[in-house]
Formats: sequence, C-alpha cells, structure tokens
Amino acid sequence: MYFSVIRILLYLALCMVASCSASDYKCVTVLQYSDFGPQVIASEVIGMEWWQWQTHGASRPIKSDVKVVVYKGIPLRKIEERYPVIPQRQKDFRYLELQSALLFLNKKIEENLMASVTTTLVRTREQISMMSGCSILK
Amino acid sequence: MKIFSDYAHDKMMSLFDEHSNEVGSELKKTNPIQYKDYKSTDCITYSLNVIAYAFEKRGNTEAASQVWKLGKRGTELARYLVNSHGWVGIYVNPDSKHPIDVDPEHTYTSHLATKTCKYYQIPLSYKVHNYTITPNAHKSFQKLNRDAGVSKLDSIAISSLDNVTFGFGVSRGGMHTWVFSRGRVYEVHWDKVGSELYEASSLRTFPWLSGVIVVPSDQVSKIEASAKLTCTLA
Repeated sequence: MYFSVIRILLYLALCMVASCSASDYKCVTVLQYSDFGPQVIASEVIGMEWWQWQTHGASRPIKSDVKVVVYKGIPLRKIEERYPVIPQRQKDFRYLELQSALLFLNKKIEENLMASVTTTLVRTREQISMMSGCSILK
Repeated sequence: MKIFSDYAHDKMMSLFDEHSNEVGSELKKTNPIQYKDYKSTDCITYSLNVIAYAFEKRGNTEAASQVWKLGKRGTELARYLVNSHGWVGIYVNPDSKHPIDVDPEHTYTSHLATKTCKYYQIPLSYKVHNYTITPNAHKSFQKLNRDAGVSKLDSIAISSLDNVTFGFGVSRGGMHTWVFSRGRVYEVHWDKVGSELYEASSLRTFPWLSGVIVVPSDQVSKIEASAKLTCTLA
C-alpha cells in the first residue's frame, strides 16, 4: 500500500513535469534568421544578420548563426534567461513576440515581392501559428 | 585646386600602399601584446580615414568630424553623405535574378531599388546591374527564380563606373563597407595583417554581390545615363 501511494505520487509528479515541458514547447519556438526572409526585410523586426555585439560583420560574406526565439505569453525576461546572448560562445538570439511576428509575416506575404521569399514566409507563419493555443507559463 | 574625389583617392591609395603600422581590429583583440604598437583598423575605419581626410583637405572640418561620429554604421554614413552633401547612390548587383550565392537578399534589394529608389533607407539615383551574368550551366542558376531566363548582360553601365575616381561602398546593409575607384573595390580584412590586410578586386567579381556605392557629386557626370532610376525619391 505504502509503495503504491509513492508510485502514484511519483507518477503525478512526472505528469506535472511533462505537462509543463509540453506548455514550454508550445509557447516558444526557436527559428533561423532566414525563416524571416532576407535581411533587408527581416531586419525590420529582428535586427541585422551579423552578431549583435559587433557594429558590423566580417569582411568575408559569411553568415552568422543567429537564432530567433518566437514566444507567447511569457515575460521577455524569462525568455532572455532561457536563451541568453553569449558572445564568447557565439550564441546570438533575437526575441520576437508571436503577435509581432505574425503582423510582420502577414504584411510581407501580402506584398509578395518575390515568390520564393513568400513561400518561406508562409512556411514560417504556419510553423508559429501552431503556438496560438499554447498555455501561458507562470 | 583638387576636387574631393582626388583627395579621397590619394588617401585610399596611400593607405593601401603603406600600412606596415596597422593591424586588423579583430586580430589585435586576440593578440593585444603582439600588436600593441600597431594601429587598429577594419573595413569601416579605412573608409572613415579616407572620407574624413578628403573633407578636411577641402576645409570642411565639421563634416570630417561628423563622418567619424557616424562611422559605426556604414548605412548611416552613406545616408549622411547623400542627404547632407549631395552624394549620389548607385545600387549595384552582378545578376539580379540569379545570384551565385542563392541568397534572396540580392534579388529582393534589386526589387526594392527599382520600386522605392532606396537601399536600406539610402536614397538611390542609379542602378547598375546584370554585369556579371550567372550562366545557365551554373549550379545557382534558377535556384531562386525558377521562371527567369538568363539575365541580359549590361556592360555599358558597369563600364561607366570604370571612370569614377572615388566612391564609398556598403554591402548587405552595412555588414561590410569598402571604398571604390575605377571599377575596383578596396577593402580591409579585420582579421589580417601585412600584405593580407588590404585587398583590391574588381567590382565585377566582388563576392558580396549586391550593395550600394555612394559617390561625390563631382563624379555624377561619369555615370551612364541609362542606369538612372525613374522612381520618385520619397
């Protein structure tokens, strides 16, 4: 009996952890810079494509591995804690609230200036639209 | 009396030819003791040295000091030169439809240049493009624009740039900056020293592909008239 109760409690605890992780996952998506189109438009919402701790890029056309964290219902402070910018390890994150991301994507998709870019933006919109029903973390 | 472009050209060549006391800024950061007696430089510093020098020689010390203030961002400097000193913006792109690096940045900025006469908010007056065509046998051909055929070569507009004495160039919205003279790009590599610190190459084969060159008003008459953009600047 005692062990059964322990087992049930452990099971419940695991479920809570699992559900929290699931909520986390649904409320945050980490994407590539290029998912928001070429720099000339993406920079309107996520800054330039070179490392944010530098005033410009290298002298060779090399792409920096910049990631974009799209989030919903979570304070920015928590997002920054979870995905910190660390120059020494070349960790560069840009933070974009879901609604701002959708506004940007809808506008550029409607403009449809270049078919292959529009295709990319539609795909990104589909990906982040799945976050719409995510639970809000405490 | 020398014009602005003559002074700028003198300075860019003197730094290009003699830089034994300079080192790339990133290289100095990683080896501060080894390069403690060297002056730090990089792509934008080269341009600032040249442009500020020419303003000073022309007696405009206020502009020279403003150039250094705006120097952190190449796009801001280019905007200042166009908006406050009558310089002229020329959009450049070797092949607007089929960039060899398959980056949509080049095609997209080409569309915007024609539609808005702007490159990252830098006003544009000319568009010189399709001067190094990606052939249909190239692996990058039609990777971005499947329905577009081989671009039509325009060798006239690019040839006119061979007569331009001086210009300031910006690639990828300021990711890289450089100076320009007679069809050639002059740049600094911030991770190099000695003979590899400065490099000159043809604009026709410059690997950054699209970008803008802003030229002083004393150079405008040299640019091919058919390259003039027709949109109205906002």
